[in-house]
Amino acid sequence: MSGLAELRREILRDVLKCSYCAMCEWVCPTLDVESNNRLYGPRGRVNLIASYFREGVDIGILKESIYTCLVCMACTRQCPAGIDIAEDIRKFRLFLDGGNGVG
Amino acid sequence: MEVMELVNRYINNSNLIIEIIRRNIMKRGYPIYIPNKALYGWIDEDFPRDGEYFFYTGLMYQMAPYIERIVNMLQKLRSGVLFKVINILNRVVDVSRFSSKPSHEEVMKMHKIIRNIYSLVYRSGLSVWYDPSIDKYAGVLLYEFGLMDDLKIYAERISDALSSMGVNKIVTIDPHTTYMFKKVFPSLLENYSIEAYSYLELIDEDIFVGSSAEQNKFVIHDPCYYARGVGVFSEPRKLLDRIGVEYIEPKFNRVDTYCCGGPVESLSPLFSAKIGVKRLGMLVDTGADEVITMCPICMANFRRVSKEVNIIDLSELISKYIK
Repeated sequence: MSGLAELRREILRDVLKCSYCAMCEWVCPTLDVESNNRLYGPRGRVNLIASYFREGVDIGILKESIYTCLVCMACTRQCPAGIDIAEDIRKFRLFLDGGNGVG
Repeated sequence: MEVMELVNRYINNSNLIIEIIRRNIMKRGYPIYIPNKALYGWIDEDFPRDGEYFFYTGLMYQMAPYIERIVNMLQKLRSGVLFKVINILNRVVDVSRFSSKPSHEEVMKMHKIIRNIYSLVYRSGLSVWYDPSIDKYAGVLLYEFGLMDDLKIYAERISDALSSMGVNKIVTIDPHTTYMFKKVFPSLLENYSIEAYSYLELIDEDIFVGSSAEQNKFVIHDPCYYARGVGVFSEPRKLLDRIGVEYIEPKFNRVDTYCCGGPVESLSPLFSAKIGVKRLGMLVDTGADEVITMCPICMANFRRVSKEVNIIDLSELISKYIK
């Protein structure tokens, strides 16, 4: 379990760097086709992960947001805080199944 | 209730789909069933069995027409109960065998692309060789789904098989496989020493006649894993310039390219198609007649959303100009 706790810390440390600037959003293809719903954008995903770790969120909403990500890395290039957004989302998928995949 | 209606529109049965794909890759070595003839039917008998660079197809081009079919089937199956039954069945028999098959022409088109790429590297003077027994799917779906324990075992199997045949340099032909070998495996495996190159990095520009006779207007679409993943985006442009093919740069190009939607096709064919339509729209709006891709997944996703736009692989275009 310590591996999982370490993974949680690693992801959380990175996503908490988000300052809500939204620089990542204009390049995201999934937010582009769902333009009014931040669940489908990088800023929404990053903060949903943070919320999940800190206070818990609905698992259905979480999966919709996390598994619609293309992991295309477009947002990662934009983030001024240097959050590795695509990598955090991929690691979070790993976290969701106790270290090996989907929950 | 309102919130729940707003979400869960795209991701249904994700656990079950991922489990089917995981089991197939780990047990059978590929995410979906493809007959051997489609996987290896492109091989000419006189392929060298020894050389400096192993020609690693990663089976992605061969899989693309089958993926197109199975994604269409997935789009129709939305019932959770049905997926549970399929998942149980899949433990015994590979259920992906039962999807409709692509046409002979589609399979042949992919074989031709692979042979073209082989000619491009061979004519560039590289000593390339091939052996179907060690040319395997690189496990990119395990990586994308975050199934890292499985991926480690799978990657070790691939790497050990290559090492046992004395392979230390490979030429890859699609961006997904290239990314796995260049970026993922080196950080995942200890004692990993395979050098991987995309064929685009190795082509000698002097093999081409520099006089394009193309009448059509082309637009270029960069795949994410090439452009952002491994930084391959100037290479294809240099080749097109050398041949004299004029091409248009779309909105979102090179390292800032826009994903084709392909990566979510297995979990949500509908969402994937929406993104495909959006990107293809950007490409067509440039006024181009044909779209140049470099990735079988991009090609399959664009073809799935439009049969009218002509989608070609870069290798099909440039191999016409080999001296």
